[in-house]
Amino acid sequence: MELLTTMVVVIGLSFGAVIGAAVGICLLCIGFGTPYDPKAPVKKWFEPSPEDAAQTGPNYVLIFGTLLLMTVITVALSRVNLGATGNTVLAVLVAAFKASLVALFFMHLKYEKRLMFALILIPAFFFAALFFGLLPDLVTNHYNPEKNERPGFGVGLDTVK
Amino acid sequence: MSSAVAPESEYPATRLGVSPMKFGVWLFLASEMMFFTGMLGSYIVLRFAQPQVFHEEAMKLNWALAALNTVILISSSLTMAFAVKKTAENKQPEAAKFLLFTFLLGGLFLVFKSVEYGMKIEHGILPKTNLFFAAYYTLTGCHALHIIGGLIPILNEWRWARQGKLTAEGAELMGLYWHFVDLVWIFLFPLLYLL
Repeated sequence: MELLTTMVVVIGLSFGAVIGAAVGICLLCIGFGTPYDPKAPVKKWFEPSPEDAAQTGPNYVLIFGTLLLMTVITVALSRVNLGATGNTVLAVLVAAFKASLVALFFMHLKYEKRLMFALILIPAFFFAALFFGLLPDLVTNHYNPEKNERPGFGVGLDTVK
Repeated sequence: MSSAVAPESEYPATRLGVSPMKFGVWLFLASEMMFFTGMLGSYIVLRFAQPQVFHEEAMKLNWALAALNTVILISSSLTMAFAVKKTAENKQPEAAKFLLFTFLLGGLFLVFKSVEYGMKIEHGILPKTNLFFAAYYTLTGCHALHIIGGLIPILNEWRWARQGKLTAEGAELMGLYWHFVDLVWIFLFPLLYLL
């Protein structure tokens, strides 16, 4: 009976999440998009205004150097033993920082309209949820799938035959 | 030697406010992000089931080669960013040069990756050996497929740039995909090799 309830809850939540994400994208387009003006001149994707012409863009070599430095730091931090959870969380945080550097500067997210930024936040939220949402359960439940043990039950006591 | 640049794509001033092609590429990247999140998330789940076993298995991987691969991929991201910048400044020959560098660096990544796979396979370590290597081969294999899938359009854009026909938007969209592939590797490298 609990399995059925769990399944219903999980499927309901997934549907809700997907529909919520779709509604969220629609609301973001409505909120951050510009109103449609049929008389407006057709726009090119990149209109250099005087400020844009003066802007030289990010310093790619500086960002590259920072990324290399963070790679060295990643390797160095892996040598420090903080336990399985600590090392994983730290590795993901450092990787997320490097990824944000790539996304903001190489992919020009920092210079895009807010809509783009918001569009990435939704998968980023799901990313974080899938990573960290399951951790509290699993960190306390060591089980070996290759020995047919299942999570949540007494390890070694209840195995799948 | 610079030739006429193809006209920028135009779009009506709709509610979207940004180029529809760029929005489409970002939507595609969001779906790819979920693709890798699913696999990476299940890898994390499996790792926490048996952290000690996974740690010991991970020690069998050559992290130095993977670190070299990381540097190669980040460099290819840098050359791609420069290619986009040069295309926007209407300097097609230099953009072609940087696109070629990006292609070569991406190919070098694949070379080292196959060397790494060879080192494992000749020791008899296959995806079916245990759970860690199943996850390892799946994750790095899917990532390598994404790299191959990105190298072909980059070659095409290099060809266009040499003919002077590359649009700035085309280069930028390719850059978005390539930076995303680099981003995924930035997550894969510590989680597979260093933990």
